[in-house]
Amino acid sequence: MKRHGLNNVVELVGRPRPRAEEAHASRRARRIVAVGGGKGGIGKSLVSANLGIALARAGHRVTLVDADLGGANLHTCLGIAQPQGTLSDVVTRGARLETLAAPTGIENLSLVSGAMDALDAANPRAQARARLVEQLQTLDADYLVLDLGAGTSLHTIDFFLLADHGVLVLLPEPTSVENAYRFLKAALFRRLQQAAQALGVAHLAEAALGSQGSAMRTPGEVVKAVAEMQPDAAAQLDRSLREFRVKLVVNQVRSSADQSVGRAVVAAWKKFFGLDMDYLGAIAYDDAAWQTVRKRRALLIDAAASTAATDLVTVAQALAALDRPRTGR
Amino acid sequence: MTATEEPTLYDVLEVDPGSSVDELRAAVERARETYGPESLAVYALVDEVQLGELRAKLDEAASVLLDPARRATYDRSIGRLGPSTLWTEDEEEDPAPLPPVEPGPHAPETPLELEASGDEEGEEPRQEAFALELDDRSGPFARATPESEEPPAPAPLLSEDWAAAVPAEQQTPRASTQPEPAVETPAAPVETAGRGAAGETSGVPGEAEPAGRNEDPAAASSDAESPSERGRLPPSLGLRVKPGAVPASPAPEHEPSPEPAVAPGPAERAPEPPARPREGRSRLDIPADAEFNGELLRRVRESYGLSLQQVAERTRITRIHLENVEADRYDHLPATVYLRGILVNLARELRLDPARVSKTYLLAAQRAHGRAP
Repeated sequence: MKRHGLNNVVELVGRPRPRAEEAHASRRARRIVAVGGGKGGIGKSLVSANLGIALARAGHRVTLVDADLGGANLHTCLGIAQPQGTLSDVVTRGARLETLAAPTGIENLSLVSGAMDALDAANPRAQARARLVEQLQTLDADYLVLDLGAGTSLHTIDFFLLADHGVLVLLPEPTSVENAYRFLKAALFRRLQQAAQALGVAHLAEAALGSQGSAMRTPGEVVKAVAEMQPDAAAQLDRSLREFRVKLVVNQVRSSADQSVGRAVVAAWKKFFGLDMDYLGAIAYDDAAWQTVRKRRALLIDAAASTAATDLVTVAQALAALDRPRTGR
Repeated sequence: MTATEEPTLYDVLEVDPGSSVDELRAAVERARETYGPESLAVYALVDEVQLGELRAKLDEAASVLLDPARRATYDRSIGRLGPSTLWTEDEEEDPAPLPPVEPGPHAPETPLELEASGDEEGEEPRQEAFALELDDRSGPFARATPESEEPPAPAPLLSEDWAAAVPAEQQTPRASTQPEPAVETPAAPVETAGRGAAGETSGVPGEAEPAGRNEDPAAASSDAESPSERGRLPPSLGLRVKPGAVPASPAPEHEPSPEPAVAPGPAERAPEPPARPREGRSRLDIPADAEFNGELLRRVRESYGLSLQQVAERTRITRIHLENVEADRYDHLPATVYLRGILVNLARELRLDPARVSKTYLLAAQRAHGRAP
């Protein structure tokens, strides 16, 4: 399959280039990006919205999905009214996701709202969740950007795991770093469980992990333990775990010390968990960010020249660059 | 060595084995920023034990790799020969080319007396100890140097002190405030107490804490209670030599009395001050001619109620090494020069005679290897 958009150099300042019709044959969102981070108020929605805008401006067809089921407000970040249909329509009455995507006023960018008004819907049952996931995976777009909610609930983790690019947002503050690591470890643990189950070695993985996932051993140790009994499965497990390659964004950076946090997190994660992480970049703390939110306008629209906006564009470029060298998956 | 699975010190610092000194320094600095106590990046990532182990390893890597001589020796021990590492094989037994390192097990036969003329040892007494050798090369750690004015706690470089600890320790030998040869290092309390007690009538040389640095024999000798209620260091048990086993001079003024081996080997920087306690006040009776093996070292450690972990934290010797030492797993221990450093540090921590411990232990290790002692 041809992959123009992804193979082109990302031009974020150029004119939007609408996609050719043939892409509809794709039947798959080419890249799913999930933006999470564990803690609330760290700028996940800001990053998601502006990442979406930057990618759309670069010519990609982007669908933003507000997957913060309990607290959806991505539409506010974009300065539009809440779309009529929301994810709850998928869950409750089997609506197609495509029909729910509302235009945002920005070329190539549409939005699916996540607002779940039904009390129950914010915590969809497994079956409904599976239907949602299936639709997300088959949505026709170049990029599907999921804005995840705070916390480490199961559906949040699962959204993060189904993404091609799990983007972790953190602030250079202990509380945020702590929650981000908790989120990461929960996601890794779930990934391990799922992979081990699929390979039929769940019992071995469990045993290797010991009683609790909280005192989690490194993936390498688990793989090694499994390898003693089932070398083949262990090799696959290893591969699966290595795909857990998180993309890091450090938001609200104020000092040069803050600047180094991203690299340090990447190094420390590798050191202790043996897994690679891609550092997409830092976003400067910038008054323009909260000011535009108050105005209910997107940063990249309303303050495109601000430092934070420039940083966000750089992050988007770094993300798109990850997809360039390879085709398909 | 069966070190193939173990990461090398280069791995620990995440540098290429061929790295220049500048690159190594940069790596040390990077490691400090990433894993040091002020780093956000390790906050809540893993538990303190894991972090402590990593920091100890990083310290070891820094102290070895930033010292050209030790680096060369280390390179050789991992089978890597560089331009600076063209030693001949037997030099492992005779580290003459490595002035800072202690003498080999072939050191003069009277290790206990060697220390006699301690006066010439104004500095650099303990070259072999890990993390004591960064000296002025310790650029990356310089930030913490100011703290070294403090009497360095003999203690334990717990995680929070990681960055500060190195310079504090390395600075110690040069502490100008303490001209006494007996107090150059964190382990000084041993000697201090020992010398003080030598003039006293009895009592355990206590006061092992930094307080022991103030040479108050009375205070020291009156102090014999349990380790637990004291600070982090147990009181000295005076685990030395039995009375009469050595031509001891009871009078402290005659410290340099035993002159027989005055000429310490070229590298014999006898770290221990004069007048080692010659009175047999040990609870654990260690004869003068004791041959130290892992079992004995373990018993001594346990007599202080110290866990391996505690000793590891204080001496910053990796726990694995300590376990291997106590189990006499010679094959798993590092090259002789490093092993000697480990033994000396351990001995100091356990209030034993470092020279005696390292000599006898190394001899046993060699015998186990089938080499002539």
